[in-house]
Amino acid sequence: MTTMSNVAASEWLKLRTIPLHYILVSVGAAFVMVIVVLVAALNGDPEFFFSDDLANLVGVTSVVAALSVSVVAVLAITGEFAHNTIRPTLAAVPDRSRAFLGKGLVLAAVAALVGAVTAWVPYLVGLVIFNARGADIGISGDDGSLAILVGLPFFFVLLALFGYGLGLLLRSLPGALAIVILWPLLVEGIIASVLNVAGVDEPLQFLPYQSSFALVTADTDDFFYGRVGGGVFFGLVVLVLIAGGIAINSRRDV
Amino acid sequence: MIEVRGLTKRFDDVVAVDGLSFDVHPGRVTGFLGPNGAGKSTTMRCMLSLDRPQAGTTTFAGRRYSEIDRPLHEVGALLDAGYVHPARKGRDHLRWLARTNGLSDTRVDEVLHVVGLTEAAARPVKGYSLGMRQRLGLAGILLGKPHTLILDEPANGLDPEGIRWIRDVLRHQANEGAAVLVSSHLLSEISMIATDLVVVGRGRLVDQGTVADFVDRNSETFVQVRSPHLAHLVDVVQAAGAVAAPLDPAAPAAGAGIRHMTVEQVGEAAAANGIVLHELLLRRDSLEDAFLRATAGAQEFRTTGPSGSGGALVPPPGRASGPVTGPPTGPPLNVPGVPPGAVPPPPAGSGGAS
Repeated sequence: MTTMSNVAASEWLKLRTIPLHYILVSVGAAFVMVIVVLVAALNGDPEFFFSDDLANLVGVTSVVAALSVSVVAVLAITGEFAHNTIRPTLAAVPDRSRAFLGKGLVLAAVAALVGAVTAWVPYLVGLVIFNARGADIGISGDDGSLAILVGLPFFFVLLALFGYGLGLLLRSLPGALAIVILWPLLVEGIIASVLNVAGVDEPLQFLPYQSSFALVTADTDDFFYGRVGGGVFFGLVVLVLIAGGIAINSRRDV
Repeated sequence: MIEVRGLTKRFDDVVAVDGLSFDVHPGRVTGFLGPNGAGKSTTMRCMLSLDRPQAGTTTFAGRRYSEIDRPLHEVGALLDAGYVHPARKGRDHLRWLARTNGLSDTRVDEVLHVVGLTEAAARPVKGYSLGMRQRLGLAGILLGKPHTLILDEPANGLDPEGIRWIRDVLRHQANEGAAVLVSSHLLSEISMIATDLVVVGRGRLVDQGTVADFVDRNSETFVQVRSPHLAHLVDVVQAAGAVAAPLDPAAPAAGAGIRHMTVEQVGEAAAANGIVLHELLLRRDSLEDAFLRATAGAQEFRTTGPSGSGGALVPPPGRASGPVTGPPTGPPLNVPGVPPGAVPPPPAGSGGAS
């Protein structure tokens, strides 16, 4: 039997044998590091820069890195259809649910790891630079800095699986990529506008993608579902996308 | 052993495979032959559960493909050598494939050695020639030492040496007991590789049997003659009920082709009339002619001749009202001394002597 561990080992190998994947992840992670180092080194008032400020800086810039991981996830699945490697894949693993779940698990694990590194390394580097310049930055559960550092890996996982789910559904790189990047503007922006016309006040706070930003923000007072709730809400949407993608691809010709 | 039974696949209103049934036996290389659009690739995808057929079953040694635990160990399938990520190295392509079925990197290196790609395997596939990609694909299907091999047009684009190499590999596998199914739209190509044939047209079974039987059933023979008194000889054989035509209307010296007489009858007629012969031999239509004749009316796409008059698809001699295919009849006979329009000519440049 082709076990899930066989499938995961194969998917992990696939993921790490495409140079473009490294480039995308590295550029995203480097972007966070560069911004944090520049701010830490050039900030004019380091003594007034606190843990939550640094965590917010890491959180906001990490959205770019998370998007780059999401793009890798889109490439990982749409590339299978574009290059038709999906056929040898499913010929080797006829259980399609297992094949697609295996890829999803690997993408989630990689996203979590990249998210953790992207969050913690720049934060600790920024902490050292700031503190060397007279700041007093640490990691605290009170000001939200620890929550961001813990939440970022989950945020990365959500965005990666979001891209994976869209790629599964659409099978098209341009289509899935466009929606991953434009979802906040196009989909949730349009829904929010409609809700606004219908009389809903600040409707964006009720929408899933926007709600997930609670994971990368120190102060979550403006988030209707809160930190965990926002993540869970977006996670449910992602699960629906992936479940739909697997269900459709289990019936479709490839 | 592959058993295909009643396989049917429709794409909206188009029936790509229509109740197709055939067997592929162990120890044999079976050619899966049909014109473009005959449904060969669709059939193979359905056999592997990649496309979902509306009806029918395929079993490999008694089990459906989806029921096989580790498919690479039992069925090796090469549907297209282009099914690789161009940025991935050849060895890595095989490694991910091997991982799915618990095969080791050692086995990957073994098959790379078998197909002669050990050195090239460290390079990205985008730098591979078509022949190298075919070899990589072949390496992939050999990974699990399967007892069944399925290959879709593996000789496509290969030079004669490459075709011979694939033939040798597949025959070796068949000699080891494997059931091998190889598709092609060229009988001449498949006849170099296969011993058995499954011929399809428009998704339906047209013929099944050995290559030799198929050619015997679907090809015609004619007598090729060359003579300094060709016009006289043509008059004689036509008077005896034969059909004669120049082999090459542009080069009368090439001689004529005579149908409906045996080589002995032509020789005796020449001798009886004191006609000197420079050449007298029995020839057979080319394999392609046999294939076209067998799949007449079963082609998805048809074309007309260069003139647009259908010259390439006119009835062969003796089949004036028959369907398409067969050698072109060309213009009326124009051999010096032979009445124009008397007979249709046999094919110029037909297959080898038999």
